[in-house]
Amino acid sequence: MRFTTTDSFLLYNIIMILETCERVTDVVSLCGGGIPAVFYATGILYSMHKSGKLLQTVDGVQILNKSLLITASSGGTIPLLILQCVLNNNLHNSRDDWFEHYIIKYIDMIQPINMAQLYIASLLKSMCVYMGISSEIVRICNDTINKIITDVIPPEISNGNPLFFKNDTCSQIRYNYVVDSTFNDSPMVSNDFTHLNGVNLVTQVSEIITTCCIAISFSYLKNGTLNDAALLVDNDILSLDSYVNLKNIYYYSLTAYDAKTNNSYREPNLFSLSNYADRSSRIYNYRAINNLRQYASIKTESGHPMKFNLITFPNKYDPILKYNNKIYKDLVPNIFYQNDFPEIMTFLGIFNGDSRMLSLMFLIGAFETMNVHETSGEVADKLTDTLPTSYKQTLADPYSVYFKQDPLSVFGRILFKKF
Amino acid sequence: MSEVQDESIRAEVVAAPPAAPVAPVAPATPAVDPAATAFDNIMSAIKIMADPLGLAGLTVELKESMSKIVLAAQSAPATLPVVVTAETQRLSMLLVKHQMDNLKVFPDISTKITEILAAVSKGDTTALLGSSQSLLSLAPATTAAPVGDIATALITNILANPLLLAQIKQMNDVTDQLNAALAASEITKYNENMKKLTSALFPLLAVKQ
Repeated sequence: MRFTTTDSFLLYNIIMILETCERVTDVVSLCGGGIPAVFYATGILYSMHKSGKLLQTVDGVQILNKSLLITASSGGTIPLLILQCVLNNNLHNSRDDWFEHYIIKYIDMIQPINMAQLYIASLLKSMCVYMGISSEIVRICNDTINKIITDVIPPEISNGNPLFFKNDTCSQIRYNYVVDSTFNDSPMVSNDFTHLNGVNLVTQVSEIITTCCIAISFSYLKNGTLNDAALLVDNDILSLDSYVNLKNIYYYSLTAYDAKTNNSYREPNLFSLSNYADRSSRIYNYRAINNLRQYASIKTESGHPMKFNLITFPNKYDPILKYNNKIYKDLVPNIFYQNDFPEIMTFLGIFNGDSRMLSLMFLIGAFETMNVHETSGEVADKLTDTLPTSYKQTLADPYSVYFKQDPLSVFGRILFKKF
Repeated sequence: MSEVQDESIRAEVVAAPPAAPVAPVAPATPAVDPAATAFDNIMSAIKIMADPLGLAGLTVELKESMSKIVLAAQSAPATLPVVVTAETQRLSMLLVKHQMDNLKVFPDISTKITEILAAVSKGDTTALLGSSQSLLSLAPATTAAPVGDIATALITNILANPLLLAQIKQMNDVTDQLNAALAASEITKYNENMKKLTSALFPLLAVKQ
């Protein structure tokens, strides 16, 4: 039998894919949830970085830890995408504080008003595409989106090398999206972005963000499908069977989930403007959680130990003092994330829209990640040493940050403190 | 999957959706405009999503913006980038404003606090009680304590604490400026005032503690 050059190339690729699949032991799934999820996921990745789990050193060069598969949906896509751009352009080997400098500093620039502009530009573009009018308008909408994106990514990235996407099941970084197609009976999730190979990096970033993060987009106008994979991601899209040495699944969610009742908690909040039925409809990912839990259980029973770690937002119903700081001492015993903010504010990720609230989300993501990896209190304390001052201020008074912006809530809490 | 997902790429190949088969009509009947039909479909789709979220007003604005953009594309293509940018900015500010309005927090509380401050300055206890009750009635009926009791406590707290009163007034002023910036679609002013509002609220919480 004789191998041609093409055969050899294919064989090499297959071997590389299998090797990557064999190396992966931990899957990290970053959740959606608007701008809060962007910061939550950034905190998760920062925590992994600080605890030495994100990167590994090979021949003196730092690369993404080969044992990791990181997947993201909706809001979680953004920090992962910036991370991939940083790694792709070798910026992580350029300075010690690369995460703070290239990721946190720019994530801090993402505020609700940027997101609103992105939504509107994307919606106008989708409308023009749907109506089949003026490709020139579509081009200008693309330019507008690219400009919004360029303003919130480091120039070293916007001027850097584009990403290269492979259509294989063992990529270490994956962004999930809902496929725009009228040929499917039900919404399909994909993480294939090979069609973006060959375009510049800003266009790649813009396309991935609008495809993964904008719920109302072309697919919604065309067939009513919400363009948000955060509602659908489970082990089907993760292709977990490919990872023969998989040991841990870290599945993050911004919802509070009770494994015993398989439902969300309910509390008629004093200042809640929505009823429970509306709120419960936001808990979309139970099916995915159950599928993953069951998958890990079956694997374990069949002699392949696998742990499913569900990391949900800490809340008053399970106020464990995971770390000796004010987040766990003062804040967690008083919060229930789903009910503390009205639906209208969480839609599009616009809620409590200022940087301190978002930095709180970052810190909770970071500490919850430390906790699931059983990081000690001493090490966790060091986490904040290199954070920007505003994050340290947030950590010093998280209760006020969480409840500060809604004046009515402020009044209520002033009053009830007096009783 | 090999299917092309990219909207910008797809834009080059997607034509207007074919019009539904139309039965022969009398010559005087206007022809069906596919673009107009598609536009109506879009508006229906957006309405389904927007209405439950209290964003109904936004669909009207969206329609107006789209008309301006299409008109610019047809009559003055050179102005198209400026028009698209301006409409994107205007709509995004409106989106934020609609969300604020739907919260029924900023506009309502602003009015009520103005009334409370006016009553305090006049020494009108009856008006003060009325405004405070009105303010607290914004909360749902799940309020544990009787509204009257809470209103009384609120008045007591406000009157007993001149600093708190000044801070509430400051917050109220900033909230007005914030809403004005939103109405005028001035992003810079909006951001500045959001920061001011945050600063104004911190001392309020400090009083609480």
